[in-house]
Amino acid sequence: MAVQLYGSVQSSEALAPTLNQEPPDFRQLFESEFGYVTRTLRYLGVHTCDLEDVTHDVFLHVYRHLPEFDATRPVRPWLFGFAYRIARDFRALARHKHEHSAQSADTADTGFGADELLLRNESLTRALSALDSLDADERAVFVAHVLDELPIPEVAQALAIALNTAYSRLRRARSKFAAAARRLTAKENHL
Amino acid sequence: MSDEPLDPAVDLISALRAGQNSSAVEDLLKRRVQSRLAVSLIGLTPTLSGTAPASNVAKAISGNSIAAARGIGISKGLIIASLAPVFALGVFTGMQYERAHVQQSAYLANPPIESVRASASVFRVGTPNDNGKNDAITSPESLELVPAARASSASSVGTPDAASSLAAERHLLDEARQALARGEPQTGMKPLGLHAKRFPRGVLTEEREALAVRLLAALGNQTAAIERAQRFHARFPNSLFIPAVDNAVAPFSKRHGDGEPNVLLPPVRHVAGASLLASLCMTFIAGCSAKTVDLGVNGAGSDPVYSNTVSVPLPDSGSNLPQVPTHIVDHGQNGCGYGQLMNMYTVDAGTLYWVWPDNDTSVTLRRCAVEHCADSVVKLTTVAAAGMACQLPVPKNSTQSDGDEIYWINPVINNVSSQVLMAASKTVASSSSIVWSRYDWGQSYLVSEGILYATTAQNTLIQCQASDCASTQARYDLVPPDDHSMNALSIIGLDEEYIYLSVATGTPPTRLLRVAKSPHAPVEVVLSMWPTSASDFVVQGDSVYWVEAVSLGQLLSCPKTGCANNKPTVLMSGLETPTGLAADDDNLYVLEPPVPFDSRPGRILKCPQSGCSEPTVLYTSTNEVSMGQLRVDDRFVYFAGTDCAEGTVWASPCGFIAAIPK
Repeated sequence: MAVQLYGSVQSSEALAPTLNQEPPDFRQLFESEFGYVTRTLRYLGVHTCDLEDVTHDVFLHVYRHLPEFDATRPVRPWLFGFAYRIARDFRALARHKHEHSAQSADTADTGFGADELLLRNESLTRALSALDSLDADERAVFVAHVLDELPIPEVAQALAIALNTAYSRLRRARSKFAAAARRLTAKENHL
Repeated sequence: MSDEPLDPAVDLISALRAGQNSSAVEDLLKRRVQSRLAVSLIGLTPTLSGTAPASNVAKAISGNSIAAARGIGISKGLIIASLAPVFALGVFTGMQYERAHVQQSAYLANPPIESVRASASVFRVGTPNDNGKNDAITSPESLELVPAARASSASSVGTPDAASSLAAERHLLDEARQALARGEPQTGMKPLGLHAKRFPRGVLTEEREALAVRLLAALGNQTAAIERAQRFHARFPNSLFIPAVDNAVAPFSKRHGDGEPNVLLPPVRHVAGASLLASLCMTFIAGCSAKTVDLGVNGAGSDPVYSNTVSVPLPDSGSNLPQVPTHIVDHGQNGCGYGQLMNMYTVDAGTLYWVWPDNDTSVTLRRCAVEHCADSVVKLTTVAAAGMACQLPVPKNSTQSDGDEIYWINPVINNVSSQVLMAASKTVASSSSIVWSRYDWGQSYLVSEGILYATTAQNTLIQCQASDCASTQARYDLVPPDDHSMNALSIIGLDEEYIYLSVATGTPPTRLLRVAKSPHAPVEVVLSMWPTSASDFVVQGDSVYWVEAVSLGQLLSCPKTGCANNKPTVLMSGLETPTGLAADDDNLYVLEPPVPFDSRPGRILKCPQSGCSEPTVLYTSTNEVSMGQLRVDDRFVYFAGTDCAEGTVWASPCGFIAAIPK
């Protein structure tokens, strides 16, 4: 399938307003959007080992604010707003920075077993590394628009930023991501 | 173009999108999160033994929660390791499943950011049997919440440094919770008291307060439990623990009517308290016998409520008096509750006007010159209420002065539509109601030069002549009609040309708007958007100011003409849940209310309008239990408050309006 790196392919699943004006049932929302939330968190930079905690936090807040959800609007931008803020704040906590740095050291020492190494998706690893080259704000716009295919106005609204700011961040994110991709691919080819 | 084949970024984007496919491993993660939610959303309910709230919460997750609970035995390490190939990173290295605490920091939905901490925490689901396996869990109600192994030793409780304070907090709350589970609520009060003393601003304050309600309810202390539950609602309106809190005081509540929410019964009042009042007067008050002039419509010259009032002369702000507030007025026990006083006063031209519920069936407007309230209080009018006058809080700025009139939102409710906006003369005994149904109209209004500006629950701006609003009103829709957020629109200020409003709907960010006063097609101008919740606003000079209480703790400003890049200016940071803001020509005044029954004091801070890194502390509260709306004039800063001792809230003359020299 053709990949639109710099454009927006609107996902009917994500964007179609529901006909039901009532707030969605929490359980249904959890079931249908769990994967979206976890992957979004992961792409926003939440470490795998923190994924359970942060996902749990996201859905706690979703549960609490569900009555405020406007059912005429698509749910994913709304969820993205939670995911973005919770991921951002989680990363900002010093104790989590510490945990991650400690874990990085452990990772270097432990490594994967041979079978696990085979399972690793090298492209995905590089892609995540490329994402890491973006700062948090740029990354959020990039993930929401390029990966989640949310329209930029929805992204701007979800992130509580001006439309022009969203476009600006997207532009920078694209540039950085492309540069990182070229760098990582070249490194891979060199190896 | 978007699909340039040679761009390596395209491959990586494809990989990321492919990674969005679900996997079996993700299902394991889902079950784990599901099981934790099943526990967390129950809040403090210790056992799910078929209680309605627990069942309701369980239903939110339900279904798979049973399987999820069973899945709890799956090690986190296994799941994380399994996720590694999916996300191609991360290795689980001995991470413990049970964490001492998961602090949920502040996030807000779109975009409001709240600083709400929910303790999800230290619970296991199910109890391992002798074989090390979880006992069968047959229903959501069989989930047993068991405090996990202590992360801290007893000694760590006494060393609340950064590393151990959270564990110590948790330890104290666990003690209280276990006491409650053992049926020894009295025993549980002690660790809660220790927690309040040692960690007045602890991260588990919300949890402590919820637990306190449950303990008080278990002790049968109806008054204190309801009081604390009400405070909990006010302080943590979106708390996950609200169901648990409400459940705890449910036996003390009654159903107010079919289809209507439960309404807490008014606490038991101690009617016979003359001796207490007398002793208070003799102990510390000069001028106990305020002379009352009654102009009330119920006449007869008597003012049984306020004749019991204690008040003292106001100090001269030009003197070298210490910075202590002077109670301009205090209220005797016949008043039906102190809370209503908070937002029901105003000061205009050196005269204090306030509205006080006499009982469940009437409220009275009074006035006095701020420096002579001890000598003369004028009872302007008494308005009958159909019932429950004491129960319904009124919003900020509910009492206002304009010209010869005082306006107030009557704290009266006997059904869901009976709260009305009242108007009364400042000088003669008269009053009239303006058509206003709180549940039709919103919770904000301003009156200027006889024109009433108000918002509706449906986010419509109403503009009318206050004397004849019904036939002169014009309505303007300022929020998209497809946005169903109720009461999202609030009027925050006026100037000669514009009306300033905030819009805090569920989905878009909070916005600051201004519209022309002209009755012809107001033009909306977005002044600012910010991702937080404001707790109070003031429009002064060339700027709009507001305090953000929920997460940032900041004093912010924006020019009336709009903020550059929609980013407000931060004038002061590090505030502790500021809830009140007032301004004069040069300075801003911020209220940080005390935490009820904790050792954390309230403060009134002063900061130049240009901003400050270190505000002037005008006042640090002593024994005030609560401090309400700020007002300011050319000499004093005013606030309403209470200094009721715990357990005697309804028996003491402990509501007051105070002034402190600027």
